[in-house]
Amino acid sequence: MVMNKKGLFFWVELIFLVIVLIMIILSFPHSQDGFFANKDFTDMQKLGFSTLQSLDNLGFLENATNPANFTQSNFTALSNYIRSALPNTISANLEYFNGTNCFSESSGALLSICGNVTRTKDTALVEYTYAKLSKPITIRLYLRSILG
Amino acid sequence: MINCRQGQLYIIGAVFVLITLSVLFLFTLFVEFGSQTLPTQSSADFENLQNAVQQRNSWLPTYWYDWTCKNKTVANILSGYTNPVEFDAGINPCVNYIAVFKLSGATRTAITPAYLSTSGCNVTFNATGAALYEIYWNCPFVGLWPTLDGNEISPSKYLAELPAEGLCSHFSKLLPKKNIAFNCSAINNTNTYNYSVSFTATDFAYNGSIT
Repeated sequence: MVMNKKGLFFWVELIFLVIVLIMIILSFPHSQDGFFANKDFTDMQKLGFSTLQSLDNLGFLENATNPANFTQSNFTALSNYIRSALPNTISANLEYFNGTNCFSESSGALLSICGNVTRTKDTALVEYTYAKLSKPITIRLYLRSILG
Repeated sequence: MINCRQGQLYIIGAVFVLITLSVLFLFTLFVEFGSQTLPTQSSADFENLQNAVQQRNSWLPTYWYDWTCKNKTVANILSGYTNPVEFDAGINPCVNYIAVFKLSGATRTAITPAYLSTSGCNVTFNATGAALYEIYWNCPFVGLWPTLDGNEISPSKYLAELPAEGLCSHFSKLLPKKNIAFNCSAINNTNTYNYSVSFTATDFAYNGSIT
């Protein structure tokens, strides 16, 4: 029986092969980067939702809202509560949706178009339905990290 | 000087080390990220629905005390009044049962007796301090209400109707715009609602009840 002994160059070639394989694997599309980007996006959505939920649970939204007529609510207070509860590193735009029309953040004025907000691909949309009213209102929050 | 056989041993060792590192690298890469899934927009929409149902069901019993009455007036009575106070609470019809409560935060105190004015539909009762007062009316008919005239005041007030379940119609307008098929019905359960929901998106679906 003939023993086929491996020579030095066999192993050198094997090392090169391993190195080349590693380089190929590393040059694959960076799925983990995509994961992190999506995770940042999702985290921002969760942050927005939990922020509004906390304000709701603590009664801030309820206290600033006119229970009989939403358009007569204290929109300055609502806006201040929501913006103050968010980190400074996040820019926010918001509007209110009553199931039919949208209302502005600053005065609760009727908007001709819903979602008329400049949005980039990294703008996260958060919707929180505020149900402690005769007719529920959905708060639409457009969040974007100013850190990029 | 390293002879050829020793050199070969080192290289074999190096190959095994490289292979081990590669396997470890791939293992950590896929174990760390491969097993994690991110929530979708649809699941976020469903979470919003679920939260809204829970919030509303916890709020309704605090907002509306007597579910047999279809309307209420909330009046803010300031100090300086003289009992018994009388004011126009917008009661219509004014032949049915009314109930008056004083609001102190989340606490309600029944004010009895309460009357209607001898003419018209003003409500009359003895206020027990400057506060918000709820007058429930349009309740089941229990007979003519006793009448009494008082000292007329004009508190700021608002009228409200018994809240409907509200969420089915709201989400029926909200979700289809996102290509989510949504069917919903609500059953009254004393002072809350049980929701029966069918929520179907491309990447998330739920069919069942939410309370």
